Amino acid sequence: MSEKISRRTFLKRSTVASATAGILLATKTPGYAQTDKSDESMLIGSLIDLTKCDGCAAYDTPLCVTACRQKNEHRFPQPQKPIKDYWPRKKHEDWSNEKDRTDRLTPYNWTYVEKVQVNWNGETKEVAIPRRCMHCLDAPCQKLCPFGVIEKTKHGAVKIDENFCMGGAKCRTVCPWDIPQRQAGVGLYMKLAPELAGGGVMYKCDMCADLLEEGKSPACETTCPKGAIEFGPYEQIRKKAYERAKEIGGFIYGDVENSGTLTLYVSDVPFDKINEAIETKKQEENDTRFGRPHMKPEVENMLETTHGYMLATLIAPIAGAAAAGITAYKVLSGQKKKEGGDAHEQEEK
Amino acid sequence: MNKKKNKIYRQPLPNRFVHWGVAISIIMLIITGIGQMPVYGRYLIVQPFGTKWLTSYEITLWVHYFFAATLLFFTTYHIVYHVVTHISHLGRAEQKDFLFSFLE
Repeated sequence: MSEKISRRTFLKRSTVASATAGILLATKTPGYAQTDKSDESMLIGSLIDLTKCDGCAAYDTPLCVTACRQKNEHRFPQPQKPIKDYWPRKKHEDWSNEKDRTDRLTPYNWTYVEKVQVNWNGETKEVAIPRRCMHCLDAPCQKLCPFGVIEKTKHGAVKIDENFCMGGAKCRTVCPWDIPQRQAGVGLYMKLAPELAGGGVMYKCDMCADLLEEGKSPACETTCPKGAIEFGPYEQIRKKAYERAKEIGGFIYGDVENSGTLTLYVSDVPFDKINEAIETKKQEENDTRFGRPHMKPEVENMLETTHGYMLATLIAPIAGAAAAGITAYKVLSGQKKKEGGDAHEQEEK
Repeated sequence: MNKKKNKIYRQPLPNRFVHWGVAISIIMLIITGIGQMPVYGRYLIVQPFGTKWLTSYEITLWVHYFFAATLLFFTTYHIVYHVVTHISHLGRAEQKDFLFSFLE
């Protein structure tokens, strides 16, 4: 470039450049890689009707669980053994010896059916609850993944990229239901510094994002013999869930939980009772491992409280400018009085 | 005269205010920013007293946003304060020149 740039031109251009960058960031123009590709008009929701699900009483394993395993088998982790501990800790998370478990969420089992006895209205009821990722509308895991490898598809499915996941398990910590499960000994970290950093890969339901892309239904829905799982356009599903709840005088789980999810459970038994039953069962079995999510009603979204802080970051510069204006005015008017006095001296008095 | 009155500050109050405000904000942003990585929970084998909060993604996120706001406050304060006092020290003609330079 032969053009000479004067100091003034340089300053001007850099001001324009930083202002443009600021506007781009503030208006969320996709000038950078975006992981949230969800399109409000294309969201796919699901309705799980607990009055219909019997946990496939006639089968050893519920059919939705079998279908999910078969469909995703080629993606299951194949860890390199022996698996090393997460230095400096003396532990690692390994499910490779329990691949056949279908009674909880593991890296090898992305959906399961929790069966509990619930006392309600003077009778004991058997309730079977298919569990998997709820696919939140405002998903903390997707927003907070430090490596940016959790994507939201246009249908709203929350999907972990197993090729780039480092296995820090932050997604599980920030998920109210601890859904993603970790397998050590696989993934990108094995190629970097496996002894010092990384923990494996996180696995969970991705709503069969590839099938949705082809316009097909997720595996769990197509194999359910009772029609208890139904996927469809989110608003229609939501409407249907409320209609069904009204019809049976029942309850809904997933519409307000964690600021709303794409999965809506409908039941004729209140969800706090179901939650109690799950917690009691886990306590009785002395089960403290991850993979059997609770059903606490109205569980809060941790991102909700940060929205106020984001507002504070918008007000802060205005407050800063105002405070500076007042101080400058005070200093300058003090200076005038003294006629030619030094501003710094004025400030000290 | 007491000791305090004998003390001479190299910098006036607004400068000291900005200096320490920016310094504390940036240090806290670094600490809480690292806290957004899965680091403290794993590597802090011995948890130093009073650092348990660092292992909470939720608390470190709040603190991160808080200091983001204070850093924005101090930097805009700094820029506005110095631009205003700088312009006021210029003569009339220079002030005009300074303002018109943005329109050229």
